[in-house]
Amino acid sequence: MKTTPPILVAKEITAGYGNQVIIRNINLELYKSTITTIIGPNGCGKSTFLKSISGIIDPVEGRILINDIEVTNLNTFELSKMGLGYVPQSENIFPSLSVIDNLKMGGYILDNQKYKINLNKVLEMFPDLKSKLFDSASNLSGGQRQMLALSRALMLDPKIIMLDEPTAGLSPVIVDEVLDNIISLKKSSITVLLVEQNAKKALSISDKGVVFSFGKKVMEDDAKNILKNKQISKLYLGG
Amino acid sequence: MKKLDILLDNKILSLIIIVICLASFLKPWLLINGILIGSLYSLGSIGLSLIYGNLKFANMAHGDFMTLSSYIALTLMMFLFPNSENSTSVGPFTFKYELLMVMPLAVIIIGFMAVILDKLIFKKLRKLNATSAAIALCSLGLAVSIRGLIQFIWGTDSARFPRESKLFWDLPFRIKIPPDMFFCSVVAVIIAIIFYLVLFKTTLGKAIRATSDNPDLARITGINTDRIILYIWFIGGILAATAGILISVQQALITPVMGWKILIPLFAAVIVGGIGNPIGALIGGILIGITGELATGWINPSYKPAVYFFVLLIVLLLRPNGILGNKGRQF
Repeated sequence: MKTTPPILVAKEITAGYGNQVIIRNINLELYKSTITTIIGPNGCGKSTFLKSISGIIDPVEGRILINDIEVTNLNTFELSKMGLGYVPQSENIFPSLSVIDNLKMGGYILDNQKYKINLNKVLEMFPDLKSKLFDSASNLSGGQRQMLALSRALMLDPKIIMLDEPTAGLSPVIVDEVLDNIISLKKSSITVLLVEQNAKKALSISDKGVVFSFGKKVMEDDAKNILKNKQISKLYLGG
Repeated sequence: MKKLDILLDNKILSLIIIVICLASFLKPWLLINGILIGSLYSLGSIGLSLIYGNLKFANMAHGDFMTLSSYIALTLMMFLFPNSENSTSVGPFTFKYELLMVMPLAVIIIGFMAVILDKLIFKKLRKLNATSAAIALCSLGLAVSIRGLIQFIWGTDSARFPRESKLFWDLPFRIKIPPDMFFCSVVAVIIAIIFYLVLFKTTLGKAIRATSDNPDLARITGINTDRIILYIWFIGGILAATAGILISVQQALITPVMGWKILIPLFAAVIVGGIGNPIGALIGGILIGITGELATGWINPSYKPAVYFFVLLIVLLLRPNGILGNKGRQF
């Protein structure tokens, strides 16, 4: 896995909200066409880490590099131009817009031709959205919303995509569908960084697992090894 | 049809419509006046609602943008066309052709001024994570400053655009319409339609609505929200300036406090319609205009602001989110 240089490097990231530091000195490397899952208890800083990478919150300390280019403190919209996609846990669609307009906003910076190509591509990936294109996004079900959020993020052809609890609140059948979509992202050479509460299922499709606790990275290993780890299994994977 | 259902389902709106219909039946000329004045309120309140919907604060300086636009248009007219007082007026209207020439220029100046003020003041407050109340208070300070500047430059006396007196249009049912009022309302409606088309049919408009929905998500999506906010200020400034000049034409009067005074019906219109909702602001503006004018058939016109607040109170008591609330399309 580590024969090629990492596509994203987070070095010693410390971040939080206002004066409150949530995560401290987190290091992480992501490699092309891999799935990395971050697990850990609620409030351990998983989402904060994704937000600091995506530029929604500025890290207090640390550096972020994409393809060896320094992107620390770069504007969020500039990061998205550089191929970093992010799907937040909640409020991840524009409810006042229609489904097609959500996708249009996903491809806001694309020229018309590229927008049409990418639109067809994501609609092939998520055919359920085809019949809902002119419906208001606020009328979609939970699963459809997640599909729309993922499609919107894919409109810019991201090289890296960060998904914050994409299966939260979904029925088991839809969870499997979402995880299948994540596997297909990897097959399309997209690097995936996943934060998931369905830790067992997420690790089962991942190459690498990372464990956060109290704002720190406490473990990083192959996903298979983490799944086999009895202590981790007892603490975070439901025994 | 869905929008019609929203309106018909709304009991409070139905009640107000019944009262308005009864009053209109008794004094139809007041209804027509109310619709015409209301269309101008709508134009002002759409701009106010646009800023509120996106930047989440009540821009107290909106009314003074309106006043300033009138004084700038007047100055441009005097400077560029010194003989405009003696020139002919436009058809049946009281105003001169020169006003139509300087109006776009004054409107654009106010649009750019709004952008500059955002860069100098409001952007810095946003970066400091100032609360909505703090930003609104700052806009109040800006409003007072603009008014002071107007009084310093143009004095405290009233002024007016060069004009020529014209007869009102006599219509059946004792309806008399000043031609200027009709012109101003038609322009207001055209601009409101253009604004609606920009907001709902163009990519820029959709990006403005996306930014209003969720600025963080808009940034993640690749939208330069800082630039979108500048567009919002520019459009808000243009709407305020257009409404200001049209109201000055309609009233045949420009005073340093006209914008400040009109802020009351504008805020009432925005809140009655549903804060941050463009269709709501449009409906709210017309409704406030109609109720204010109809009331003058039975009470002294100087009590009009009390009528606006009465309508506001009734609507908020029965429907705290305004008539359309969250049902209509938000900015």
